[in-house]
Amino acid sequence: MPEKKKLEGFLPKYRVLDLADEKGAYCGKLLGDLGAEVIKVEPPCGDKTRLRGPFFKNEVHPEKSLFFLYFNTSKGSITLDIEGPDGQEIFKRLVKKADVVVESFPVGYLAKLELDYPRLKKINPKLVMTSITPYGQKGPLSSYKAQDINIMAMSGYMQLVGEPDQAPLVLGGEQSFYPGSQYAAVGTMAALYYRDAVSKKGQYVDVSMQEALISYWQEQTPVPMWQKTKENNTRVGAMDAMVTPCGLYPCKDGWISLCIVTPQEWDTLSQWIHEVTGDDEVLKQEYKGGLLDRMPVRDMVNVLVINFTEKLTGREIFLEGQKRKLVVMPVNDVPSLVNDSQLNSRGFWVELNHPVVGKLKYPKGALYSDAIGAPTKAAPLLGEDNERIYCKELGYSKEDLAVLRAAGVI
Amino acid sequence: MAKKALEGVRVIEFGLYLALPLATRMLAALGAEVIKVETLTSLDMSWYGPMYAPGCLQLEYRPLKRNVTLDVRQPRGKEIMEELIKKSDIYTTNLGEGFLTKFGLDFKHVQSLKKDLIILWGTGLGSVGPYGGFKAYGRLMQHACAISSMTGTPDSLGVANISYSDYHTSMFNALALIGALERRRRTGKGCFIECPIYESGVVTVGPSFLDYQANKVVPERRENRHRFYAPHGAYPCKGTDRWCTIAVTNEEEWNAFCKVIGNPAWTKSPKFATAADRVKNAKELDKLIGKWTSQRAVYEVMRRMQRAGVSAGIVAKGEDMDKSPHLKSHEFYYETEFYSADFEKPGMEWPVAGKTVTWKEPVYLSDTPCMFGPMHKVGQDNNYVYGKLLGLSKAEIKKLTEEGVFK
Repeated sequence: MPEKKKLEGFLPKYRVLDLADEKGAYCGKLLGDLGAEVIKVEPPCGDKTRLRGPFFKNEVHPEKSLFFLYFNTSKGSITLDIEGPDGQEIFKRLVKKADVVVESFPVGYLAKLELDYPRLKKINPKLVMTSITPYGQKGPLSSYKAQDINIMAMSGYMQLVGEPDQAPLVLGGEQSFYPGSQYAAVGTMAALYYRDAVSKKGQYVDVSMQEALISYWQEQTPVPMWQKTKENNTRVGAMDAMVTPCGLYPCKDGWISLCIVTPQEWDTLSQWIHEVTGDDEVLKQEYKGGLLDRMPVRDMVNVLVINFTEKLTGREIFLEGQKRKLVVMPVNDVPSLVNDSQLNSRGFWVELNHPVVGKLKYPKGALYSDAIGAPTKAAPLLGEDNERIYCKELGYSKEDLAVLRAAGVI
Repeated sequence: MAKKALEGVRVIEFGLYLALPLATRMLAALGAEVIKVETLTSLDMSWYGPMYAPGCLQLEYRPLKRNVTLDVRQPRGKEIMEELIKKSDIYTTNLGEGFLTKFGLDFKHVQSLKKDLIILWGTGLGSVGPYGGFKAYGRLMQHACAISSMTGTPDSLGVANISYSDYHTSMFNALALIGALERRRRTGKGCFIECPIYESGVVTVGPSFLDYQANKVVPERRENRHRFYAPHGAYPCKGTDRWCTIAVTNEEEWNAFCKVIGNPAWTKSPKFATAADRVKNAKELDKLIGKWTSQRAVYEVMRRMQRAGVSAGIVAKGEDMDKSPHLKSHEFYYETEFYSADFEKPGMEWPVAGKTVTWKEPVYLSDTPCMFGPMHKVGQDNNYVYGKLLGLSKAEIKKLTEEGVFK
């Protein structure tokens, strides 16, 4: 178990008003997990991602969405109807004291409510406002609707996933919800740093999820390739197109991945294969060499490797391969990661208690440092900070709160 | 002069590959002075990619960065590296611990050079623990991070032809570094941060971690079908390898979708009456939709769906991105020169190999817009860094260049 140290926050307690749905929730989580005070501002019926599956014990319930729980650690929650005039007045009071507003509404929605950045900036010139949308605030596609799969497609990412002669695939786990939010968190932090170190003024940060994802496969240089060759990148499947052996191989209990690049690495692997299978074939001169040398005998090499990998478990091949200085990596699934000895040894899993769902383990994050703490709390209950914010901070009485609640404002 | 968010921040990049240089690319675009330290005494294979235009890959990593050549394996080279670190705010590396220790640049020593230094170390599977120091490649990391276990068909894993989690690492790095600058501004303290590529990918498994713990559910590989929505997939269109994705998430969208495809009789079948029915019979549904889409051009399918309020998007290729009016309206790509490597000669003598496009950082800041520009040649900033920054005389620089310290 990780040591529980009382840390001053890595980030200052910036107040972040988080109005984002699934497209931008991860931005607030990143800032909150690093120490910012993030408050979700939810419609009185709850943020719509509270109704996104999967659910705890498969019960559809706004406090049991595991999707919501994952993306909203270290956040608080208030309810507010920003579509009505009373709610808008309260929102403007909140904005006065906020450092950041994060939102992912359809482009133009906040302008219609007169709550867009030019207006909020007048209320609070130090405000940083960050928008995360599928295609950004401007341009011909800015009004296009998109789910995860559409953004994965429009960014070209899907073109690279799967087998060449089959349909392109979307990655599992709705991966388009991460890059845009990651860039947004970086842009927001840069704006805050500049504000506090230099300008004393906020600014607007506009992130297109499509462009964020395009940059997440830039190593394939898709546009230069098209311009220079009039060809396009495509899927190559589970095996590398240039290097052999390199890719996924079946083993006793699933799959293992490995990649052999140098002549030395092949010598090491072929020796090991020989030890395990006793087959002299693998030691032959025609298979020796580096990078492209085994391409002509690719099928035979793969047969020899599979004959070997099938005799051992994934873990045996991984640990022994690494001991022999080969690039062998496990093919994990969700259960194996939850139980992974490396992650456990680093205190990666942090147990957080949620009043309705109870204790579950959450990732600490990808950063290890004495200066950086872990997520502080599980996702908020709907409106759990209403009293703290509305009464203690804005000075409403409990009776006022009851009236606002009855009127559907909060 | 445009205002820069990270004006006055100096960053050393002592590393290679993808994750770290992308993080510092972002910092450079935000206005930091990034100095890439490298040596021509060891061959960097990435200079030879891609095959169709060797050298242009470097535009993905080097724009706006200053560049010096330095061989830290020589005693004088190491000393100069130390002087450079003392003049910097941030020191980043993703080299192995063995190498760094061997040349006297272990982190304890580096931290002692400057008390408030911010250090970022990029690792693969991690620096310590059972996998501490293990070797890793980006492309295989998607398997270690369980992403491939959730992708593809029931009996085959779907693999992305890229270094999956390196990109997540790069943004976690950038976020951590700006956060650390803010912390230093507030407290005067530096810090040491490690960011493994492994954990960077693992966090993107997402809600499935909770689903497994709470419900013992292991994610199924369901091709492009969604657990809760249908239709949801990539549908074949006219032409070779052309696909349009469509995602319907509620009744309103389903009705709009049916109208677009002309309300054929099958849409009224009880098999597709409710969302649950459609998810259950998604395979059959997908086939029927494919018959309609395959007779139409990919852009036509997308536009007609979007006009009706249905989420749709083509599976874009480089060609589509090149021609995209939308990306053009954002001026997302810009054209600049790249170079042809010749490790026998100083970097300044490498010829221009051509021009091509690279992308701008996809973050539009209203007051301190991200900058973009050319990449520097290898060693282009030797005189600035060694002369102006470190105060070496011209004669000294000449001598050290001749001795191979600046190779």
